[in-house]
Amino acid sequence: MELPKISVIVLNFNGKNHLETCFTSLARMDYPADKLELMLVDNASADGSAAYVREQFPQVRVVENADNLGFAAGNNVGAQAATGEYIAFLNNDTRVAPDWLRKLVEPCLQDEDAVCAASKMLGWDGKKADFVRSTMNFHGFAFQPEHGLLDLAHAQRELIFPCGGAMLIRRDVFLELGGFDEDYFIYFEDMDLGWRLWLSGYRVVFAPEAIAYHRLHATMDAFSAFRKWVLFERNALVTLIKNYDDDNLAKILPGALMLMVARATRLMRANGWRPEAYDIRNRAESGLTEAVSRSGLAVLVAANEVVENLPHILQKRRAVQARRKRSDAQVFERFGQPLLAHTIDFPEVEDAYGQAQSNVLHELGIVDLFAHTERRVLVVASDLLPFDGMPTTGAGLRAWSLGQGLEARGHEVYYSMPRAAMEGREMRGKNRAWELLWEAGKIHEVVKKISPDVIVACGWSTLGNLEGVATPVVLDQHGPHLLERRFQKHLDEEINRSEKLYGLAKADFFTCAGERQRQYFLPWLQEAGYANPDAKSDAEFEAKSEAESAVVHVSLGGDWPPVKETSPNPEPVFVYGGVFLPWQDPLLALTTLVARMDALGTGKLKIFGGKHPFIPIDTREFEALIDKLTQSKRVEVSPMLGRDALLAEYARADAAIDLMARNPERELAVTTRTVEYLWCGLPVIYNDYAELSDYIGPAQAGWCLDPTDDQAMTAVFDEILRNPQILVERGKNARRLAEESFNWAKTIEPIDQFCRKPYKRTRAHSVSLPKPGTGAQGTAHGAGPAGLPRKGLRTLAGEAVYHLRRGGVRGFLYESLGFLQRRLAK
Amino acid sequence: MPPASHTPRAIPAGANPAGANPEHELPTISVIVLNYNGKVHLQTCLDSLLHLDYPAHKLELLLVDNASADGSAAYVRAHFPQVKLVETGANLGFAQGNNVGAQAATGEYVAFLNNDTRVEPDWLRHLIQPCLDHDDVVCTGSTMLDWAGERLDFGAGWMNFHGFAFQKNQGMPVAAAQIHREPTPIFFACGGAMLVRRDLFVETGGFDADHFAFYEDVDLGWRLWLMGYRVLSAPQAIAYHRLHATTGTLNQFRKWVLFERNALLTVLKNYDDANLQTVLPAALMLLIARIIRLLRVQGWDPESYHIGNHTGNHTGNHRGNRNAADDAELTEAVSRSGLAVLVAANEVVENLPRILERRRQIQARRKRPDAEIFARFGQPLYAHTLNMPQVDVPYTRAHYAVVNGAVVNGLSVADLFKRVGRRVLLVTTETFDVAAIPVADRTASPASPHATPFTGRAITEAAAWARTIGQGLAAQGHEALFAMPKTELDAANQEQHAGDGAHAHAAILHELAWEPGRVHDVVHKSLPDVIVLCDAAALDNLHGVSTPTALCLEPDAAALQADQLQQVDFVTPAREATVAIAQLDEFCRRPTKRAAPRTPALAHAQTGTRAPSPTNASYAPPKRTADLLREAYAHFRRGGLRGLLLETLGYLQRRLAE
Repeated sequence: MELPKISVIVLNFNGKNHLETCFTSLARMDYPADKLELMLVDNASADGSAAYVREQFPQVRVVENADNLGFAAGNNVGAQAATGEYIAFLNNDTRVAPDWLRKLVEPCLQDEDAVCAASKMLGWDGKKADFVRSTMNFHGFAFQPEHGLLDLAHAQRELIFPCGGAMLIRRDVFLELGGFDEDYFIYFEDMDLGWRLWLSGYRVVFAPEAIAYHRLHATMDAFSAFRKWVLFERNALVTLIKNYDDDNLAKILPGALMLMVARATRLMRANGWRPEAYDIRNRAESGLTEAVSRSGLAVLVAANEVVENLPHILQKRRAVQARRKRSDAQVFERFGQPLLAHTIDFPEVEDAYGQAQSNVLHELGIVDLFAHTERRVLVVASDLLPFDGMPTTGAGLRAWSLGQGLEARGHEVYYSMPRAAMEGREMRGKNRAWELLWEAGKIHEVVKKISPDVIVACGWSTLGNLEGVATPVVLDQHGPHLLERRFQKHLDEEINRSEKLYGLAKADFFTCAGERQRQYFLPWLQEAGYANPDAKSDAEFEAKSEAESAVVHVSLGGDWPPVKETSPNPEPVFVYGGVFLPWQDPLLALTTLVARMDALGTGKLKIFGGKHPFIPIDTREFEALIDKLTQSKRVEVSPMLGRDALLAEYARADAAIDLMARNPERELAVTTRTVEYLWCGLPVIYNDYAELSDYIGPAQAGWCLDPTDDQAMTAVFDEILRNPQILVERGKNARRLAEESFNWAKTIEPIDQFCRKPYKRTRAHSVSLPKPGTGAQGTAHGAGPAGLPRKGLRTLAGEAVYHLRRGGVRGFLYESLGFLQRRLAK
Repeated sequence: MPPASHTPRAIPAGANPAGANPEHELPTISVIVLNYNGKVHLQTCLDSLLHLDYPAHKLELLLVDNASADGSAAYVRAHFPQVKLVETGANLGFAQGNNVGAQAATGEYVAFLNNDTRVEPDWLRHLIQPCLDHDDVVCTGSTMLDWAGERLDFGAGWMNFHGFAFQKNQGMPVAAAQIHREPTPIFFACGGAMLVRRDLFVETGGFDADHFAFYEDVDLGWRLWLMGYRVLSAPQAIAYHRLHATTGTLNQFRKWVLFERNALLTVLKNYDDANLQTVLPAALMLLIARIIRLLRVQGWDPESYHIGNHTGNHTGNHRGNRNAADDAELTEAVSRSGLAVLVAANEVVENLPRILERRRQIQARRKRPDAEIFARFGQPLYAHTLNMPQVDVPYTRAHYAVVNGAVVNGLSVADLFKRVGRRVLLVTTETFDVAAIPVADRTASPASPHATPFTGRAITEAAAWARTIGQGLAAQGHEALFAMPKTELDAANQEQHAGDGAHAHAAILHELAWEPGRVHDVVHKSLPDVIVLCDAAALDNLHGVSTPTALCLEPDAAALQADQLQQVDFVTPAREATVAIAQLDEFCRRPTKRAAPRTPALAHAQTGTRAPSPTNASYAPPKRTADLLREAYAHFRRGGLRGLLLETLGYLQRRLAE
């Protein structure tokens, strides 16, 4: 294909030391020289940049501005002066790969609508992603997801906007749309351009193979944070006023303004300001002024600038809207993260800000506008996930299946496992999972890396570690944990209880694996402050707490194993799988089975399982049982297998035995391993008392037996062993049952709905929960210790250093006084 | 002993004199006096209630005590055994305190009365009468006068589009205050002296307790209108009010929280869905504009927050930042009044679910469309006055007015209210007869014309032009008020010996007469939506006026200088009366304050030059010493020595910055 002429525009302000590297890399590009124009636009640098380039790079056209026009206007000048059919904008603190420009223009040559391409930007050493993805939220804040993580963006995809630091656009389109909006000075002008391109009917495409390397953000560091806040806040607001259509603007503008009020207030609060002192009942005399956070004031300054320039902005809006070729609903799909709460970066106010945003989104109907778009979800697992053939447990598989279910609904899912679970393991290849391991007390770091729209936390003990995030949280509990702990002879039930309430109180929506479990959890939820505090009646209270919880059955999906038409084995093969846990007692069922196999001289029992992969649990009783069973040559015992290998074994088997003694935990459990058997098409010999019995029995997906009735067991085992063909039909039933009732694509509905319209639950003010003691040690499934409610010395010292760096000695002193004040106030 | 009662003779006698109803037809009424630490007022107030001519067996007197610490309750128990005492146990605020009273009351109607009032003996008969005359009138408002009965405190309640209420003609002499003869529709009755049907009041939730105090009466009035009822004034029902004796402390900013918050609450609850979408962003934007302006009061400069252009060095020392080392400061001191507005807005944001739940309940009972209620607003586009001397300096006021105009027009709020006539102050340089021009509240039938000093006099061409313009605007539904030069008006009165204030027109002409250089005094008295200058000679008298102003050139006027044009927001180029009136009408419907040069940040980002600092903007005339002294005194009153010092330092800082 004929290559078009391209002008590469490097904007420069006092960046002479970057220019040699940058232009050398441009000069070495493999793009035909006669189709290439290299330009330097110098924003009145004082360091002799222009003269340097003229001397060292005579092939570069130098355009000198008389003043620092900022990013937007500076680049616009370059675009005007350029002669190429396309223009590429490149930051001065970058270098590019030799094939950068070829790869960058490629998507535009493939599709006429794709007039703008985004370069991949990596860190200087090429190891971490800088810009590989762009998203924005409903009130005009732009984000660069994956920033600082491994670069796994290998697919060409559509983006809401390219990064202005390395991008390409058709010059005529750029000029016709008015270029970058010069009122922005700097920040978000690229987002605004992207949005305008989309609504004008064009597309913006990410070119994964066009690679620029970026020295990270040197230019703007000279400015203090509150000055940058003004620009971010102002430009976000200007962008949304210009680009939404009339109906959507009417809904969103009040919401955006209200959230500015919320941000200003919370930034000030984070700096010690107490709006409560403004209550009329407070009779304390006060001075006429009060010192408050400049970052908070910056938000107000930003909003006020927009208000004062409203006629001008509305005029620009009319021009933008006159070009509309694509509906907002279509553009919304490109936003990426429309409902992401803008991070304030002060953990102590994040949660309250998330609450405010949630209220605004729901009460003003904004959330409905974006319900058709998908979310970025972080699944925080408490156990190993079945990646790369690793073994897993019920808890891990549950977490993974929730994520898979959400992926099936189009959401983008990230998984975080406990670091402890990965001790001594290796994972193959580049894998995001390694970057997202969580450590006790530091889940928020993972959250920060990913900026998810929703967190799905598996097990409440994970939430003890999640302080200060604005993100809505689903807490999934895959079983009645506290009951399990009884069997572990866990001594401190009170700590356990408070941990549980604390975790529940943190979450906004609760799911568990079965209806019976949910009934068990409802009173816990109410104690943890679920249900509207303003509920006027018990009925309303209960209805609300019901609405804040849902059942998501343990489910599987994805690549369904083939259905067996005949048994693969001459003698029926039974499997028993899973981690050995003290509240599970299959002794009678297994010994009876082995006795009948021995008696009838047919059949095999394969036991897969063993100790929990990383949590120490006493398994002596099990080992004794295994010793006993293996005296029969019809019993084989394998260690824990990776999930792939385990499934291959299941595929070669004929039936599963999962019949355990009755206890309160088992009655409420919806066991993952059982569903896994069904999914593999194995009929299950199951109990007659659990929730799954109500499915397996009527579906004839196996046999539901009284776990104490060895005569009934004997009858069933004998029937199977004498006539193994009956297993085939029941195996098909098992598979059908799994597809219909335990298929994540179906069962994930409640969490999918929550993700589409996520919210922060309104906290009951009356409920004040004891924070779990710091002494609580993570045991069994609750890997890792619970949260640290009071700030430890290390945290305090860390904060002190932070304030010293930010504010110098004065800032530090100010903070210390505020801290002391707050402590005294308590 | 209460002062001798007398009905000010400027209040015209109504068609329904008290006592028209036979006693047995009168309903039972409970009068509720809410009290918080107001023991000193109670004797006067309760005595006057005991002198009411309302039949005793139809009357219940209640005192609701909001947990006063001054022994009010014991005092009432000892001295007024006939008064039913309700003790709330805590300070529930105005709204909930009165709700508790209404719950405890037994009358068919409840009348709420402030504790710092006294009433005329026939107060209650007049107050109930409109409810007896009309089924759909369920709420009436007293005429409230100052303690001496000389000036109007409350006659009719008005509101602007973002929920700020004001009292029409408050502070005007009774004769000039255009009090109607007949009960007249009003948007709301002042909670300080009003009457409402008890069952309805209780059933619709009474005063919204979330308000605590302020604007709960506005909210109630609006709610009643939208439910299909009417609220009427009862002009003859007269209560005398000691005006706001307890204010004036440093804690004023806490009241600001309530005003701002409650205005926003009122807006959120009562507009219909479509109108709320139009109004809410505008209300929020103006709220932000007020925050910034109030924050400036103590010398804070938002301009200092901009990343300016670098001018050659790149050490982080940039424009807009006088001292780069400053940047290390994480906080800075700003005015609590401005922060109060932020607190107010934030409280609304934090309680949004609850507020909108209340909204849904209210909207479910709607029987009257917004469009029919809008006329009752009175002055929907009136720019909220910050009412603080610190920010009432010309530049700030003017600036807020500019923003107000741009927001209400840019976000189409003006269009919602384009059918509501405006309150227009015509500034003339001549005196003349205005008898033929209705000056009364355009929401009611005009009072009949009265004789004025000019009746029958010949007038000049300029005066005739002004009168024609006023007549034309009145015919378009606007309320035309005239400000004439005082010296000439006095001279005319001397001639005619008719200036005794007996006639409403004459009285208001005198009240609104302007003195050279001090048109703003008249503007502050009359609070017009729009000012129309009837000839260019009035131009130089506009210092400190932030109201949108049009100049209506006379047919034979000389061409204007550019700097003269700078002083007004609109000039009628047409010199033919009907065309000029049409143009003025259009300006009044969508009034704007002419945009100042574009604001600094955006402008300088584009042009690379910093816009002039507002403090040395050309349209801020230097303050006169007298003004400075007046301000100093105001600060002293408000903030004591400390407040004065703070203000003075702020002032010096600003002067230095210039």
